Amino acid sequence: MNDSSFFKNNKKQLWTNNLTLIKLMGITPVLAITTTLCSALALGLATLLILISSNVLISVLRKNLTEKTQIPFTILVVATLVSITDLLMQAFAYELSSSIGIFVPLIATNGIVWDRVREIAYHKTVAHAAYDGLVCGTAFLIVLSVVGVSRELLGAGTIFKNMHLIFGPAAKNWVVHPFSENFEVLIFNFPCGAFFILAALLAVKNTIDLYSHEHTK
Amino acid sequence: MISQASQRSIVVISVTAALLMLVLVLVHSLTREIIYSNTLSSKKEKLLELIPKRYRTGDIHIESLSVPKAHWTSLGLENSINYHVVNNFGIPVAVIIPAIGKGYSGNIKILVSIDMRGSIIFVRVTSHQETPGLGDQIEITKSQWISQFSGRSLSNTTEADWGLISDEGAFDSFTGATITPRTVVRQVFAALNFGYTILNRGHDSLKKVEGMN
Repeated sequence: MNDSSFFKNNKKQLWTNNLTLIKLMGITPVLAITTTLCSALALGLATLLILISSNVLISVLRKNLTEKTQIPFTILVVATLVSITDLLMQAFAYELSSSIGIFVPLIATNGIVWDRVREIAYHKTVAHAAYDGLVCGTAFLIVLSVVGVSRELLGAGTIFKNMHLIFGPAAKNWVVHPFSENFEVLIFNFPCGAFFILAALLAVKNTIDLYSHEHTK
Repeated sequence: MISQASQRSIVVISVTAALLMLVLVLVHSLTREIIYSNTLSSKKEKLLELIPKRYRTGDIHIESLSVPKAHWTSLGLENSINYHVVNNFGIPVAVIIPAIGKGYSGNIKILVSIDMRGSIIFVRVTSHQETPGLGDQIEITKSQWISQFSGRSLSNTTEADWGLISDEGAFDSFTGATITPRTVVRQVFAALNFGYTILNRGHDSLKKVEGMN
């Protein structure tokens, strides 16, 4: 793979064909878990790890599987990886895992994981699958984070709240209050508020795409 | 006859399943103890939020005993829930009583900590489904409303006073909700009453209380 196609592939997954923004895949966690940047990052990172590891594991064994056995095998691999991640989080990041609760086990049903396994892991080399997992996971992480930052800012009036749950006690005073102490727009603390943010995000993306398309003509 | 490719995938799936199961068993057995102690210490931490620092000068031990069945109705309990005795250096300094009330939309679960003289230290809501922006002012993070119970006891507040001011009681309500604060006041009173029965029994007989249900 030469440099320019490498870059093109990145751009495709991160922007042009961003699974969350184009196919609206995996929006359940985007709507439910993004009240703070902290939980958005935590779930995004967990999804990223599971995407890479399931892609790799399936790609390694892909030549030994017929089409009929692909679905049970995917369930087996993804469910186990998700269980392991969940147990490890409960053991070593207990507060974090209780704040994002059921959504770690639910990664097993994330459309992005299933889409990448079907499209890439069963057809491409291990390196390609691992790299694709990394890029698609990052794309998802970015969308989660953008929605997370916006909702935290509008819903709670803070930025970087609870970051010590991920980055250790030193991050406790990262929290910024850009507005007055009691600032809160209630709707953004609920999934319906997340819908508005996601819609705004889609609108911004489409506008940029439209604009750049007109200019390249 | 099953084709060779199918045979191979069956073998691959079976072997992978066995291996992944082994890994999962390994991870589970390694993390079980840690997760258990995490859960315990998180529970303990939540309880200690109801006990100010001045009550815990050193070695804190929390004894959890189940509420006797006779008190379930008044506390709004439907199944066995523990109350807690907080010991500082082996001497009881406070009790923490759970109570559940019917709110505007679902159950409101509260914890009331009471010191050995029978005064309320803190009241905290542990879970509720009240309307955001209105009924959720019972949360300490949203409003100081729930702090008005601190210092109250059965001797400085008569039974008739345990109600909202609008119901000729002694407690403030807050704008936009009546059912929610009314329920909380009533259940705090119930918890305080149960606290008194425990305190009057004396700490030594607390274990007998556990055996009574």
